Amino acid sequence: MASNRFPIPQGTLDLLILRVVSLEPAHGYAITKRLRQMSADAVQVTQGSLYPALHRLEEKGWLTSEWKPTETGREAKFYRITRAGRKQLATDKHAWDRLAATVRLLFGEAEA
Amino acid sequence: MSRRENDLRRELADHVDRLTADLVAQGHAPEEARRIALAEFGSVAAVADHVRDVWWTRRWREAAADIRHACRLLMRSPGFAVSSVLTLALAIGATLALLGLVDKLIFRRLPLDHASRLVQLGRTIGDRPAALSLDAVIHLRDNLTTVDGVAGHAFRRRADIPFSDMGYEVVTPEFHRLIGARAALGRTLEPEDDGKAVTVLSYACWMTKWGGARDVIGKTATIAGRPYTIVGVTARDFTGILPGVATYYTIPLTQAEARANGNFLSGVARRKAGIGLPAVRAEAESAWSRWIAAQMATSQSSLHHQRLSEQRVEVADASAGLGFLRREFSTSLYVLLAACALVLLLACVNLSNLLLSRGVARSHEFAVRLALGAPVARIVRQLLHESALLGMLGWLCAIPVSALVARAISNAIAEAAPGVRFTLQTDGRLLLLSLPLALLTTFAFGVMPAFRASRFAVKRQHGSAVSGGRLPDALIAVQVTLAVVLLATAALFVRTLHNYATAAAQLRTESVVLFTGEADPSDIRHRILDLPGVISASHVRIPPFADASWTGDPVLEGYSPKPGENISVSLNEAGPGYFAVLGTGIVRPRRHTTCCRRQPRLCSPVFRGPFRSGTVPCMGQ
Repeated sequence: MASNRFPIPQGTLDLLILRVVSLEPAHGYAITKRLRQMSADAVQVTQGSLYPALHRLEEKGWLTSEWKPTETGREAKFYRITRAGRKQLATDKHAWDRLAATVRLLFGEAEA
Repeated sequence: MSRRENDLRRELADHVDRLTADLVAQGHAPEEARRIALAEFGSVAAVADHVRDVWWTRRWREAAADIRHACRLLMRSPGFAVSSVLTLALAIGATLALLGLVDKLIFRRLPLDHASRLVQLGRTIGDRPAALSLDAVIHLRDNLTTVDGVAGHAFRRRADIPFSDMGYEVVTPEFHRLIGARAALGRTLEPEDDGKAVTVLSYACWMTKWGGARDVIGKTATIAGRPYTIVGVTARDFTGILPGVATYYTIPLTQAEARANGNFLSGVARRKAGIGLPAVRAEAESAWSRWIAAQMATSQSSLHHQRLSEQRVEVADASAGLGFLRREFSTSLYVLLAACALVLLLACVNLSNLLLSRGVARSHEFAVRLALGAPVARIVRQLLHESALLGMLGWLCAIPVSALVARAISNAIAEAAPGVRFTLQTDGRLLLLSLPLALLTTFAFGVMPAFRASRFAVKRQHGSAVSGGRLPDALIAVQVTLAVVLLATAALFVRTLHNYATAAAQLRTESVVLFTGEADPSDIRHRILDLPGVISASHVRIPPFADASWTGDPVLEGYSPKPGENISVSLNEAGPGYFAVLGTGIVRPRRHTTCCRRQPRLCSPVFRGPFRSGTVPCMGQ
């Protein structure tokens, strides 16, 4: 079976995490699962990069976290996007769109 | 364990548990599911490490680890540790002690109730400072509305005993009340003391001359040959308004003394609350111009008018005391401080060299660390932490060193200038201030060896040839240059000190006896010459090293002063054979006798300098 996974470009992980958390607060394991689902298995982050990224985003003030019980009753650490995080997400998304458009342009493809 | 650390563990464990639960739900046996989950997650410890690396506390953890490492390294090479810490301790200690002296002399506020509002009033003639007459002080007192009063102050050493430590101050009676001086015993001077023969002792005088006896009030002290009734003792921390000068007695000024001495006072004023120094200065300047105008009206002499027009009133902050010692010593203190800074610099360069050579010796260690994946910046940081540790240890050892140096300076000053008493204690404020300074310097000087060491390591790692590099050569050059400059400065210092020490030796003071009295000079001279063992005798108005001066404008034959030129000179009046008594040579031979029709005048070489016309000009009457 040919894998459709590819290494995510550097610096993109923050954008992806912010995007997932912006939909609803989630804990680390849920974020990994959601990323995989939303990208149809294309994006698979390792825990070695996910957790440092989550803590980094929290240090920057783009995420906050709190311990809350999940549907199974077990407590988990939920991350929630902050106002500054949403602003950052918009900025990053815009930058990403421009980069993607530029790359497409360079390859002579019409803008979608 | 911190809460944050606990949270992290819980968070990662929760991830593994959820993964396991999902795997069990997919049909795996619980043990197998756990094994797979752990395998998929990877090393929990490694993930936790990666997370800790993004925490802001990381730098602290690394610094703590570096310091621990540095401590172990220092203990492994005690020779290096001791030599570098001692180098730093000596340099920092000496600088600290001198800073304390400069602080005390130049910046420290007087321990008085109104210290922050005290202002010094004086005048300048041309660019030279000059004292005020009592009339001028009274004029300022009556005409200034921005101050709460103006007092006159003069400091005296007993002129009849050269180098005596019996300093006393003559003040207008409102002086103590104006500056806010407090009494430790009895009372301070009051305005009612005007014209009375009373005195207030300083605490040091009370302790040393009167044994601290509580019944000293009402006793009689003899000052400059006159009896004064003791009415009080000033507070212990107040050693006088002149920084560094031990005042023993304070006596009220008498009209007779004011008339006899002319210009001899410093003005001391207290700004009114809320009034700034510029406002006082502006008012003093206008009051002074009225004073000058009044003076001009009393004289017809154009020279006198010119001299009056050159006078300006001087208003300065006096919260740290009157600027007498400050003017005299501040330059040399700053020079001394600069010399200390140079020593500190030299110590740092030395330390830098030591670190450099150690860095080369430790290149293997750095190569291993780089190979293990340590970034260069991390190694540089480690080396900086090591120098910070050295700086810290050096600073700690500098505290006792500074106390020793301070004691040595106090003793040296007390020996060189009796009457000037300093108690230099190690100052907590300065110590605290010096800590970041010490750390900063060692940091700055640790950077170079650190970068060099890391570069060296990289080269070794890549197997390329390691050259000596220019840096150590440059450092050695800097060190040699600094050492030469320092040596030259030190030599100049020794020379200056030697000059000070031998100034008296150019006069034969060791067998000179000085006495005062009222008698016909020529009569008493002959009678003294008849005494056995007397080789020569003379009389003089101002004895050598006395704290008195007499200035005047000479009339120079064949020389007319340019407008604005200051030709005033110091004068003295001496009897025949005065220079023979002191054993001072006369540059231009001329017998010093009394037989001339006009009294012979002698000039010092300093005076002759500007007027090399071939003949020694004579001063007119």
